[in-house]
Amino acid sequence: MEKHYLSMLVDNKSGVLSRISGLIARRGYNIDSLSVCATEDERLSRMTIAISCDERTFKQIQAQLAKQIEVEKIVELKDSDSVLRELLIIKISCKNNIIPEIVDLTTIYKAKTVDITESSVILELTGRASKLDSFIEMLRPYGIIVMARSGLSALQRGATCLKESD
Amino acid sequence: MKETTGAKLIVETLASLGMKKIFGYTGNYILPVFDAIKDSSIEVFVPSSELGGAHSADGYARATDEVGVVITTSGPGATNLVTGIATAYMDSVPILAITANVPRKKLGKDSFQEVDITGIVTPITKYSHIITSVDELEYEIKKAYALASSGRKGPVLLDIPYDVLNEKVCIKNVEYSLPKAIVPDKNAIDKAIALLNEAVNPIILVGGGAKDASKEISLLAEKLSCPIVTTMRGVGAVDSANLLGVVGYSAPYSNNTQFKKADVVLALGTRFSDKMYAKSKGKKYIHVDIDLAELDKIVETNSAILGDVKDVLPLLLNGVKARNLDKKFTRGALKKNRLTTLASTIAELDLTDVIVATDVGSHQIALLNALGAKNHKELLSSTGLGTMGYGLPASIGASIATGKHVLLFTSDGSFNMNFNEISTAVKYGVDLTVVIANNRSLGMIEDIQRNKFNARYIGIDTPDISYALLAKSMGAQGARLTLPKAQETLQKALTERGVKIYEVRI
Repeated sequence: MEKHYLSMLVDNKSGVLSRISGLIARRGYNIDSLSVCATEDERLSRMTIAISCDERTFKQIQAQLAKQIEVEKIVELKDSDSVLRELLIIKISCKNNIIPEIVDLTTIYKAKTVDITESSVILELTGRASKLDSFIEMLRPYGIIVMARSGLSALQRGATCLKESD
Repeated sequence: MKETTGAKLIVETLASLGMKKIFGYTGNYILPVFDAIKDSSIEVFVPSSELGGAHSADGYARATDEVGVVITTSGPGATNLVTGIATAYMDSVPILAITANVPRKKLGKDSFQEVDITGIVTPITKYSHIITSVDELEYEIKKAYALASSGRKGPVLLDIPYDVLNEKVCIKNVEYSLPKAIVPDKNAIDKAIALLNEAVNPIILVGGGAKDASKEISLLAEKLSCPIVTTMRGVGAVDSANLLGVVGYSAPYSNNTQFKKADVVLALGTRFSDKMYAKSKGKKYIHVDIDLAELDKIVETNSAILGDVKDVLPLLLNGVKARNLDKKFTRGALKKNRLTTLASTIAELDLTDVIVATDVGSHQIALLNALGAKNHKELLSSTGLGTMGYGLPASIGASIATGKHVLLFTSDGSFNMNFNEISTAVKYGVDLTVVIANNRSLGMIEDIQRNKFNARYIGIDTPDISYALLAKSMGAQGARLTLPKAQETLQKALTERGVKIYEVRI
């Protein structure tokens, strides 16, 4: 199954997230992530959806979303022409003696240490989902206490952009 | 700019959109709107329950092709609309529901008669919105009305807090502009023409989205010398000698055989319901639909044409070669029994200027199969959701909308659900003839229990009701008819005024 990415501008009103997430749930689409954020225009929010499915299912999801009144614009983002990023915050068990190992890992992955105590450390990493996956795997042996991922945010590369007036 | 209140603005905006007759049930928080109606050109028709009002708005819309409006109060007034809205959604019928809600400061506090109706109806509306400022009210009504009646039609709901109804506001005469009409893609049209020209056994499948293209469908079928079949929702859409009837699980065997034999299916305005055959194997599909999300949803198409059926068909007609085959088309019929005989009797009545309605169940299938190659564009039948009890309130709405006589074919199970609306029909002096096919059972469920549950019957008996006395108790006429007498009595009833309820034991 292929990975697909959708970027949408939707009305910034109550009930819109519920309509979109309800549609996805009711039709049984299994999405990898959904993120919502503000845009430069306060009337609109940006939703980014990552889905693993076949091409036909993807076209159907796209058509179902596109016909919602609250969806002003929808575009498929291709891996090759988009910047796809996700944020990871992860808390791991960390005794003093392993701090150098953790520092090495954060250096390699260009992660940040955002909190540290005698028994744990919180690390922050931004990047593509696959990079985050790999970082998590490297940290797993130390004992992951808890983690949070933001879901995908994405923009098209170059001069093209998703705006209502287009 | 004229200053008014939120409630008066609603009524004036509805009037400016051409609404003259709406359906509504009063209650505490909707009172300002009812009060404003008193001084307006709009007439409000009050059903026995909000559900009746929703179905009446649906009947109004199906009979006129205009938006049916229903207004109710908050809480249970709003939730009673849900089945009516879902019925309209599944059959793509334009309804504008306006509900009142508790004042804004009480929202979200579990106040008396407060529900999140916009949340509840989200999956069964094209658009649902709670007004948070009186300044958006006029625009939102125009937007909701336009959305309901454009593209693939459907229900919309606006929820308006009580304090917004009383707030002062200026009418600005704002406009809502609709998206541009779809221009069918030439490549897809050319591909469809090529497929039809190469076809050995083409067939035209007509759905509810093709109701405005009767003439074009007939012409195309003649040019291709091919049969036409319909979905349940497509019954009445086309008047043609090439029409076989319905296909699917409730259709005659011969119609389904013809459909199976086809190598190219031209599907017009249908969503390929699970109640009909839609197996792509060995067939090529051309699918024309106004809703992009319907194309390639169920069947994989060889040509998917996004557009309104009535815009697309002339383009196909121009391109296809006439086949001039000397073919005769035989209409399929269901197995003969007392129910199908009664349905045929009704279908063969002179139904000129009569709107036909059904409820839901075996009687519905019998009549939809029997109606034949007559155009019943205004046919009232809940085919998508299969809502028992839809028939009577929908008939009332259609008769109020058009002034026409409505003939409702119903059954004991369905009629018992909403017969409280007989009094509504009587109150408004509608011309309505009701035929109840009474077998003292939920017939369709009885069939399933017989075939799939080893005849272990449960929950299907209907009560012994004297429908004649019931009718009389509410001011209508009522009688029991025998099958042989039905034709004569019903034909006469259709020429008379008032509400008449006939029970036929099946």
